Amino acid sequence: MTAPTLPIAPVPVDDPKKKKQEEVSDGKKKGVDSKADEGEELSEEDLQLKNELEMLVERLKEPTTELHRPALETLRTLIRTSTSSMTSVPKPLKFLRPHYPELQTLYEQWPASDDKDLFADILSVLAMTYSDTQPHGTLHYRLLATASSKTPSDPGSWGHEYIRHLAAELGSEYTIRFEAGRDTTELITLGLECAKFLLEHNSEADAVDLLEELENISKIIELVNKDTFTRVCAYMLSCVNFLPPPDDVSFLRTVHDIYMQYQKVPNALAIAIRLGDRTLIEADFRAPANPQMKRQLAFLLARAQIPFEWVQPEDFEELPEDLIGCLSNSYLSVHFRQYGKELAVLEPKSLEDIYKTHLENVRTATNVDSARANLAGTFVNAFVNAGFGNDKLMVEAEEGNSWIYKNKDHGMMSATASLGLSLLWDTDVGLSHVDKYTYSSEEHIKAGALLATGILNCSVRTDADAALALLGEYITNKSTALKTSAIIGLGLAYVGSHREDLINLLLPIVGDESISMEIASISALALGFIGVGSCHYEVTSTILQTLMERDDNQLNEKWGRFMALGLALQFLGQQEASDTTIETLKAIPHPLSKQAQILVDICSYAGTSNVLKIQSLLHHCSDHLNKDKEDDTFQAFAVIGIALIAMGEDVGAEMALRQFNHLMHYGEPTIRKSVPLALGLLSASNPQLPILDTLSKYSHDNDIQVVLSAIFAMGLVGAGSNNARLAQMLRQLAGYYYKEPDCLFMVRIAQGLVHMGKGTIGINPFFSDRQIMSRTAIAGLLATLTAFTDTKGFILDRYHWMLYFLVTAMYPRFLITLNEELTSVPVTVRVGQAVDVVGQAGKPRTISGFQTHQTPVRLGTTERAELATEEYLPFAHTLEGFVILQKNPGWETQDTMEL
Amino acid sequence: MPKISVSVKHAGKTHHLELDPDEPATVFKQDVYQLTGVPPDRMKVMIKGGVLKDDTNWRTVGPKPNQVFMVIGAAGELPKPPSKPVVFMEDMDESALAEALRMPVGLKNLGNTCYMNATVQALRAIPELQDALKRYTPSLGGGPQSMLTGAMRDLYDSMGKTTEGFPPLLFLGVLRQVVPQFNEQSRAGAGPAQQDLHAISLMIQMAPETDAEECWTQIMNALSVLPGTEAPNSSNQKKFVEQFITGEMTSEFRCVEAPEEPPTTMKEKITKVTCNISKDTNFMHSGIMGSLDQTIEKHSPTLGREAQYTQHSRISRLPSNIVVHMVRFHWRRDIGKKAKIMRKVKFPFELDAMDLVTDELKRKLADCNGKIKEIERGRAERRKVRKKTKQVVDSSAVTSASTTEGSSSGNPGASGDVSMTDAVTVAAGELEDENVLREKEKKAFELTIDPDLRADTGASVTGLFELCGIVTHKGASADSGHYIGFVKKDTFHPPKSYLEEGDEDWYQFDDEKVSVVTQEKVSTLDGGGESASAYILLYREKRL
Repeated sequence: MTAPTLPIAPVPVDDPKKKKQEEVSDGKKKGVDSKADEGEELSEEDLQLKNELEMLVERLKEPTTELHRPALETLRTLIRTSTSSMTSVPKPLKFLRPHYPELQTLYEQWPASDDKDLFADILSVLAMTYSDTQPHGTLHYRLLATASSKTPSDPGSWGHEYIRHLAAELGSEYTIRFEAGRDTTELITLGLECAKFLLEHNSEADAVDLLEELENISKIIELVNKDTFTRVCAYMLSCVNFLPPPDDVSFLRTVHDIYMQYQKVPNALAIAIRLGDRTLIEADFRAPANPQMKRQLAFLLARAQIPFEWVQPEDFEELPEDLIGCLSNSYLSVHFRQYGKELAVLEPKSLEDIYKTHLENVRTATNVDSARANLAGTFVNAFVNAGFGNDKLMVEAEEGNSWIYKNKDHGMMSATASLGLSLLWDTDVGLSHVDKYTYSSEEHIKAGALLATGILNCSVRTDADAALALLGEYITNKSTALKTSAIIGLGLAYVGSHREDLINLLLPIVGDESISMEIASISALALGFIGVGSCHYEVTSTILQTLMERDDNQLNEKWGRFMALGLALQFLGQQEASDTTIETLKAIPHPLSKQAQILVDICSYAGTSNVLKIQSLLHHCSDHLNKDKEDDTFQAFAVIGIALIAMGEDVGAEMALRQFNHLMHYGEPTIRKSVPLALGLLSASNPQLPILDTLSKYSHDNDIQVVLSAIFAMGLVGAGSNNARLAQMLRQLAGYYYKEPDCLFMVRIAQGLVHMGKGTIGINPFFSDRQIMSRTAIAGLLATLTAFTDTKGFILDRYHWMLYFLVTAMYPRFLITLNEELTSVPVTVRVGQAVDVVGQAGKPRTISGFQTHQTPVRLGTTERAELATEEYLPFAHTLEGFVILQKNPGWETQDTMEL
Repeated sequence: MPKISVSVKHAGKTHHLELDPDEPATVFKQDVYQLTGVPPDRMKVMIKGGVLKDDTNWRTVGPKPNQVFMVIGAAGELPKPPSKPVVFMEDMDESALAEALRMPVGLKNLGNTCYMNATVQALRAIPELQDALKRYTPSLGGGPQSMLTGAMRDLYDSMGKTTEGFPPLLFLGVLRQVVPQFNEQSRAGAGPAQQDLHAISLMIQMAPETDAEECWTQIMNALSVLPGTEAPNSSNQKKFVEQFITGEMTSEFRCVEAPEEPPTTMKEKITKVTCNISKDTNFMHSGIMGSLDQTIEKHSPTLGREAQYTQHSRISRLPSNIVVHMVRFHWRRDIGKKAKIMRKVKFPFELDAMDLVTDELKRKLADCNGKIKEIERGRAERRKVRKKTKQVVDSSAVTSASTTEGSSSGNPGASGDVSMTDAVTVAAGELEDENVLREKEKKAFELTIDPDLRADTGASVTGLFELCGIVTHKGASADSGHYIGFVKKDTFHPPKSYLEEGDEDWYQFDDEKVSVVTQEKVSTLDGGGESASAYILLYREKRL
């Protein structure tokens, strides 16, 4: 262990020891008692045993060495064969305990021999009773016993309790020796033996913990077998979040190797994606020969938005067309609509269906178009009918009666761009549909059409590279609106693609000092989207240079934060890879650098639940700055960062909630308005009651900024959940704030988000049984939240289209089962709340409170599915998204069995 | 170079065609146009690295046989902007907004003036009053009454031009000038805050007789200068209040102790009907009856002493607006205070005044009263049928008449009409056209009107009334509390057509706070606790 002070030490070193101590003290007390009234207490049998043991000890003290061996062997047999209950010390140990010190001195006097090794072996066992006063005795004698011996005895022969004791001492001894710089080989050899024993005796967790303490986790690969590896991997994966770097990465790599060893390619690939390791991903993808398995892997890669080029380098032969289809997400639109049809939500929903104003307390009848209300309507319509391509306001609008014209100026841009959301993933029809608006004489409509092109291409690839062909020419356009839209459109369309040609296209804009800060920052953000998690050297250095060279006045602009975010996204999930960049940033005097430092830091450790990082962020939040002199925007990012880092894991997330509560009480306004946003990020698309209640409370705060954030966060938390309670809360808020246009606007947006995709699309960035964090989703969410750090300057001003950043996080929450021709096959599945079964004995149920459905089926954020029958075998490791099934050759239907 | 067989993908469809690499790109585009209908100038053919330009040479592109090109572009017309630009709420000024929103505004509380605010708002429910006020021009030096009337006209006028709560400063000033006791109380209760119940109680102790009812009466007095609506050839100049609010009560007194004494009859003008609340009054109707028939003590000329008389009063002229005053406050001698009667008294939303009028008037009203009830029933019936057919039409036409539902959400007013007409055309198959029916009904109704009543402008012809305004009092005692006005919504927005009928909502005027409440909520204002309970009820005649 590199840092023993860390509170994340996962191994329960103390527990067994403590228990032992209790036992020992118990035994001691008994010993005292038995001395006091010997003879009365002891049964005849015990007395006999005691006498025999004492006789054996006496014999060892005798100088005649011939008798030593049989005496030792008898002792060993007596100790091994003694049985005891869990709460008491075995009888022989109890009776031998008083003799331990004299035996120790005796041992020192003996010359080296096989007998002495055996003696050490026995002393090692006896030392267990003295672990409170003479720690590490067991290990000490164990090592003595094996060091010189040619035929060292198996430590496992002393039983489970002994091994556990040994494992605990090994851990602490290793730390001592490691720090002192002494040799640890013998410890590791012994540790491996112990681990082997533990693995064979259903203590996978102890084995993993031991090897982790010995910093040799990769050794476990050779120790596991086909019966134990699943449990070992499950335990290791659940440990990853609590490990300090770089142990977490080594754990993941070890698990990956184990999975590969046992041909669990989808599991291995999932780990590789989590690591973001290009070579591992490529190797895993190429590993299986089965074309169905390959497709399944392609679906997984497509879900994770792994750059296409990673698995299809130019010099390799081209992949078959069906695989390219899977990798490009080309089937997403068709399957999504079919899924909508199965769930009977294909029909477009109107705004009134969402608002349900007849249930609101206050009713105002108006016949006038309010630009604000219509703009909200634009977003609601877009989010609610996203992906179905049949909404009534935009796509299917009557000629000349389009909703676009019911919006004002910049509203027109957002309205046109909403086409992209409505036609999401549908590149075939959507592009043509959007294209006609690019001929509009109205600049805002044209800009909106460009943005729409980008949005609808998000997370799907076309062979013709349509988005680039359509948007590329506008990058150099004079009009700011067209330029911004084209840049952001490219960013969204190629999110996570790491494409060099696009980087080369956009990078000059960032570097050009004659270009306004707005355009440069937007370009940096687009680069952040495209190269999310790539640590691209040129991009980072260009942005850093810009931050150094631009005027203070320009850096003071509100756009600066997007520049910083663009830089930060490059390092998403890359942990210590960002260290040098942070150091460089520290050299920049402008306050924007502070924001950038925080952003880079939180992005690097996103989803790791790294406690040290959270502590330092809390430290930033505790500063009470003088707002006139210092810029406090970085505190907003610090708050969001707490959520970003903690969101990987449930316990950490729960602890973050407590911290937020404190921040809300004692924080400055900047911090307070960010707390709801952080809550929204922490629990995106996962409406849990405590969070809803908290947000509901914040939505009635005195500070309007807090209110706006809280309302939007309610939308995030409930996104795509159709949560009835949340819908009710929002309706109540709509009534409460009917006179505050800003709040009402936000309430409408939140209502739209809650019914996103009519309840079929979620924005939770974790997938594959909540194991993998989607970097593209995080990028989108973070960009949206960044816009909300200055709500009045962006969302409520002319830049409401920033709400469309969410599109990168939008993905259907479905399970679709496909046959080998990639057409949907209905099978029965059980869907229920996911249960954490890691480390539990036997084969516990992984879901609770399940219901049986036919696929395609909707999966909630915390839900899990399992096949109801064994008629089919899935290729995927978790039933989520697209799953290819294969008929089980051994399956017999009920009928044939009856016959 | 030979022709190559390629295909293009457009809007989800694949078309096959021949490509001649020697021809310019425009020729290819023309071919694609033939297949897809996308005009060449708006056609975007995706090739590697960009869009196919008109001057692109095919050789540089290097098309392969069976290559699939993606074609982007929409066939047909480009979307056009609507002919009329949309006007947004945010662009309107205050008065345009008020007109567009049609939401009535509240009145600011100027320090214990809720009694006045509630009264003024409730008075707005008399539609004829608005018209009469609009026509009114105060004569110079017309005295305090005409000043108040003028102030009231200005007040209503300004209220129609704003969306914010309006401070009725001028009106209050004039009111205090005209009716000095309102001035006193306000000086006594110096506290400006309405919430300060203590201040109010102080104020009312100083001038215990002033309350909303008092205010109402005073305003009515002042309004008496307001000229009435003139029948073109009428000779007698009647005033507005006389015509539309004032009734005539005919009372007959019989001496109980001297049955042989001939009954005396007395006629008096009334501007309100009182409803006495006794220990067994549960309904407003019985309360009114109780105040019409009572026993009083009065000097008997035959006996030469105070004697018991029964008073039997009936209304001999029904104005088209009846004001019912719930006598909730009474002076209790034992505690020397004005006490409030909390008793729950149910009030009807529809009042049939046939029991309250003299036999003579009853005869005149009978025909018309019967007719209107019959017509009402008929209409309700038809509405039900229409609703049913509309539902059937809606569900069957969900897919075909797709425009109605979708666009209605965005613009409920405009497209609501569209969908309605749809429904009616279908319903017309079973029902005769509503407009025609209405016309017939109207004619039949006109025939039943008694000629005497018709000649008397402002007199009720049907004897059937509906509730349209309420002033409520909230609080435990007369010395404290809060007044709130309620006005039926359709008073402000009369239904444009028969299709909009049946709007049962009300506006609640709680000083500057205006909100919409349902009829159920209004029906709970019948007292029985400290919550708001009806105090003055305004009924207007039901007409066709």
